[in-house]
Amino acid sequence: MAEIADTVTAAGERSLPRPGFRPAAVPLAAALLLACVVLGTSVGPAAIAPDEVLRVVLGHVLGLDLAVGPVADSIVWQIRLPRVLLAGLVGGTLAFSGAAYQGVFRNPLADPYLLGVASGAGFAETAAIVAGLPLVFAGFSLLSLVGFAGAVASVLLAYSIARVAGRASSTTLILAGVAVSAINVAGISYLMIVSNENSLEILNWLLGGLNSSAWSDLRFILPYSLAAGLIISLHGRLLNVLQLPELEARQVGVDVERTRVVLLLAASLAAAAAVAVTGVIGFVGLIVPHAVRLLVGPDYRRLLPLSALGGASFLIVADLIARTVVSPGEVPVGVVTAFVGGPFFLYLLRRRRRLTI
Amino acid sequence: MLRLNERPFRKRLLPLLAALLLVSACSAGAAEEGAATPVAISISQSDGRLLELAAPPERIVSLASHATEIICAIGAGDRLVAVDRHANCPLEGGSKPAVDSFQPSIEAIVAFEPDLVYVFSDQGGVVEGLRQTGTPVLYLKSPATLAGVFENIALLGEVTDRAPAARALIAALEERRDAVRLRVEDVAQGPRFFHEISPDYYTVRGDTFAGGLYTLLKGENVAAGSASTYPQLSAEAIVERDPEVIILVDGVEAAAVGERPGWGGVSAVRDGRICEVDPDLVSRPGPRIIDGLEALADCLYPEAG
Repeated sequence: MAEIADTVTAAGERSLPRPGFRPAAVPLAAALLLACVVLGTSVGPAAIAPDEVLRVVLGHVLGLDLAVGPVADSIVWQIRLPRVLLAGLVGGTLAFSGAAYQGVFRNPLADPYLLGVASGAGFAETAAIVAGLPLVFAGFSLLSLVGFAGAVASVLLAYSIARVAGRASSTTLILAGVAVSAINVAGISYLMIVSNENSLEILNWLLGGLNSSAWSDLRFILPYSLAAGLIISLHGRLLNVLQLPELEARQVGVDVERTRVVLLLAASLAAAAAVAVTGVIGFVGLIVPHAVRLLVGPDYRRLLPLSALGGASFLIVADLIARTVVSPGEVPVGVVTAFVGGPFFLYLLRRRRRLTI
Repeated sequence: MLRLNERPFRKRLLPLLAALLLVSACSAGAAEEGAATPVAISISQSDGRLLELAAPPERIVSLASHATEIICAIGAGDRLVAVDRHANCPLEGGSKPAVDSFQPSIEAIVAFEPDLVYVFSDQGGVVEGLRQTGTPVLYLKSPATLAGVFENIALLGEVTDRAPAARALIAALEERRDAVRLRVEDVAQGPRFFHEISPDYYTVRGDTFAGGLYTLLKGENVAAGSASTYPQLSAEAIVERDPEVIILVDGVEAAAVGERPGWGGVSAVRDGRICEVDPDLVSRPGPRIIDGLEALADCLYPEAG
């Protein structure tokens, strides 16, 4: 089957425009990500010299005592570095989940929140806040677990509603997702109205952010991101086949339904874990895959890893801006992703149009 | 730089002051409490409109918890027929029917047949909506300072014909405020503090109601220099600025602060100087605000308690 799929992909690739194919794109993107991590860890509202930052990180990684100040050590190792790494992990996760969603639905407007991941997590967490459940911020966050459950429940609900006679058509699934999201959003609004002493807290969650990032958040997301990333990247070739008309995809021996379910579940689980920890961060999952597509073409085998790397770099830089532009204050990172990412994407879009014409 | 009687505040206060003078002038000749002679009251409101009342209102709906608390505290609680559901002051004679000030329903409010509705925030055009039904509205935005609270108490005293009680309340509150001022008289510069209003580190700048209390207490705000009045600080900025006192008004437990990653070395955590304070006491511009001021003074200066 893989052989056939390969042939089809090759044929498909010939018929598609391939702007700027660069074989070194993945190593380049990885180097860019590394640079972003270094930059993000070196710069912050607290003025700490780069050599001290380096000594803090090396000291922890190598287990040495490199005589760093306790404040610098706390800030770099316990606050800044986990935040940078979390931004990278969440950005990468949202971007490759978004790419998978777009591929499965063959819809350029699809993003990881399409089937109710964000609103489901939001509704569950809002209910938890209003019910007065304890919110543990150090150690393990109960709120994240609740949000994760809400996100997964929403996707499963949308899927089970859309599923008729063993299979769910893309259109029905999208509509079910939109309806489930609408119900969740109505629930959030209602809870905010009836309990307005909590509305600030709820609003903050909805805006999303990385301000209380901790190593424990990374540990929470990492297994889902890694597993989903692995599963989805193994399906790069099949995602290419899914771009064919469904009948043709079947004819080359692809179990379209099974592939869709596996991809959607994996992408939704990873996005749910991300949303549960950081709240809704818009734009990354929608635009990063498109930007990558404009740069390297539509082959999912390249698109998926590059989306992950690009999304990670993008969110690290966006968060760096969010936490330094009005220092000592913050702006919601979602504001930055749209404000900085939007014009960049429009630029790419315009450049690409010139290329095709 | 952030003293209580700042200019932008004054600008807002002036109409209120003018209104009060007018009120005092009108009621000066009237008999004291319980007099049968109706007092003509004229008040300039937050939207510039003038409210004229021929007699003290008997059926008040209060959409502002601070006004509800003031009306109760000056002994006019029996005039209230409905209150905002977030008011939790001790009301004599049990609790009042509740209305919602966040999403106010004009129909529900008018059903109480009020002869005055106190509004502090014009949610969904409620002010104009009520006026169109012929219901008298008193629309006054929340006082932004302690002095503003006292003005508001005096005004409500005139409106409810309880001026002596209002004056007595103001005198008592001013005395307690002055006692706090005396406590910090010899302090040149108080401790650095972080006032946490949400678990993701939203706080207040000095030019807010709660922030102004700290200015009176000579505290040094770690949020000084922020771009917005209610800024969200980044965790590393808080840790770097090393607050000596942390005041939690967001329901977070003091013990949980030290467990936050990177916060272990913060002075307030090391010295155990973290206070949990009821947010209503420090953010609600009503008569309990001095309780809040005293609570904050105890946080910042525990030794002088």
